Amino acid sequence: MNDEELRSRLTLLAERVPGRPDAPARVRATARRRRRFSAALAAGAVVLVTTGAVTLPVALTHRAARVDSVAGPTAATAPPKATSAAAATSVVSAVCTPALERALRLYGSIQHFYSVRTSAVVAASFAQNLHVSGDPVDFCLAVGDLDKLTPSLPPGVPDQMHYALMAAGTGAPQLVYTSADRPQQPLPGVDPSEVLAYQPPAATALPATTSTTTPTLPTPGPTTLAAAETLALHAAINAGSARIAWGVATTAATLRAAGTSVPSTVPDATPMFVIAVYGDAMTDGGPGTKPALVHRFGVLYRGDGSTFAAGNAVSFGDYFTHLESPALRVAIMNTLAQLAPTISNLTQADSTDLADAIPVEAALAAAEHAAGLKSGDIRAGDILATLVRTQRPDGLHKIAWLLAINNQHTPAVLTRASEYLVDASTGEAFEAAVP
Amino acid sequence: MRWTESVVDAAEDAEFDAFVRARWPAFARTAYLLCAGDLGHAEDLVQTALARTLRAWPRLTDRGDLDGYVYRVMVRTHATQRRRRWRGEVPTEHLPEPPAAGSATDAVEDADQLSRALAGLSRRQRAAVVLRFYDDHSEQEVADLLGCSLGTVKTHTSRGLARLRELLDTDTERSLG
Repeated sequence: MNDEELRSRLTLLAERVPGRPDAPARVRATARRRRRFSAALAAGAVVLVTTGAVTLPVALTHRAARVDSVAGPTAATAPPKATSAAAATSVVSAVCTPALERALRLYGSIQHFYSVRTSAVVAASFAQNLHVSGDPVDFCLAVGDLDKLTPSLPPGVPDQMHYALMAAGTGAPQLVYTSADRPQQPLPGVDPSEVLAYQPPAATALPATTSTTTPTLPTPGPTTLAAAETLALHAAINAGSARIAWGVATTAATLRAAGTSVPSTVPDATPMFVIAVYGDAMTDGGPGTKPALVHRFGVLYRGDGSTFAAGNAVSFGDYFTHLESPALRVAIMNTLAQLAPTISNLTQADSTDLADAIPVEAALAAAEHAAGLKSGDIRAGDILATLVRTQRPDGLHKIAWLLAINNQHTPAVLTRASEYLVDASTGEAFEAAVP
Repeated sequence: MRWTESVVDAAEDAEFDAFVRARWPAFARTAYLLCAGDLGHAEDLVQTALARTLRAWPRLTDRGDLDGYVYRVMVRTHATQRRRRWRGEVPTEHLPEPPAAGSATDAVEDADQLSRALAGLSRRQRAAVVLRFYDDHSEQEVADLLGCSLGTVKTHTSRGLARLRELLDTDTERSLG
């Protein structure tokens, strides 16, 4: 092979890359998430460094405080003090700004809120990489079961987060840090004693004699593909545009035969779910792996209902390229406004609706079938998709995939209808239109 | 000065968007080859490189060399990203489900063969070959992009080409045999 032939072959190979009409938006979203995540990590590091010198005494104090508060049933419900102790320099309040409270409530069930307002200078010195605009800056600390912050870990797992601090100036709230244990510097200028320790819900509901010995039961793992898909989709700190690309129910033996590393403790006959997620998401990395901004990820679940303690999610984070069919076509996700469909009475569906929607590739197969096409007739790169809510008078097909097919790679003869609506629950193609 | 969205004014926003729209396909194609035909990783790489470019946008006064800046970020990010990537799964050629009938055309096979061969090169060799023979950069430009000497580029290119030819020949023999 000479140089010219190599050039030609490389060019042909590179031509396989599809276009990205939404490239600027994707880049900006990536930049925003990277910036927020870096700020949160850096702030967490600052807190860790400043508390490092007194880690042991704090840990001992925290443990003692926790036992005390479990024994006293009123401790968990006692409101925070209206003013700070002698060591504190800021006034702490139990009322957060609505925006901060709303953002924090998304992380799980909250037991206490603590709020302080500081100048931008104090805020910057407290968390040096904080990027909030405006002066003053509001901080809001949430204490509770923040199980949606680290969704791959079930309640009761030791590193479940229980403290989260967010800050906001004139812009959107930003996560400053999260912690499983009571932080030494919970808020700017606030003495740690001002912040009540997290109370495990099971412990507060039972008499003190039994609450301290009752373990929290681990959450059972998935036993159906749909349950596994829901878990996988929620296994992200920020789900962003993540959606289920495909899911496969198989066995541990099959996966091993396909070269996938499955722990030896999982018997060959164990049912397994392979879930692939496409889209931008900030994952927490799952047990043993670091948080990361990803554009697609895979999760491998045991399908026998095993708990996390027994190794429910046997792998998380990387993408199963070797398990993906080469025939799989990828739809380019858009917003409804970007697609500007000719089919009317549609509104953009919520991102939460994605959890229950069939994979967009399954919707594409249904659309092809309805149009009398063979599977694979519509080429990758020609498929634009978004999830919509329909406003039909008969109340049917409430959530649907809107698929817009263009002509770039697909032969024109195949585009007898270029917009399709496919029910996102049943997979039924129920409307099509030629713009 | 700390970077905030307010620093990048509306005119620069529009300028950056236009730049991304115009140059995305070219960056994505180079990234696709750098990642040996892995589209997901390639798009990750381009997005990461452009996100870093966005951050540096107010400082990039030499708008004539924007491509060079993005290529430099992309090539160097690729070199470090690949080292950090989690390797809990072992890629394999064996699929649990056979590919759909009729999908394996000659063109696809050819592309897959080249992708596999590119994957057999080291990161630096692959970068040198792709930048030299796909993007048509001179050896000196490749040296600047990779942050190494001209001699090193020549070595990487020469060894990369030899290895690529060897891998392609082996693959062809295997498919014929």
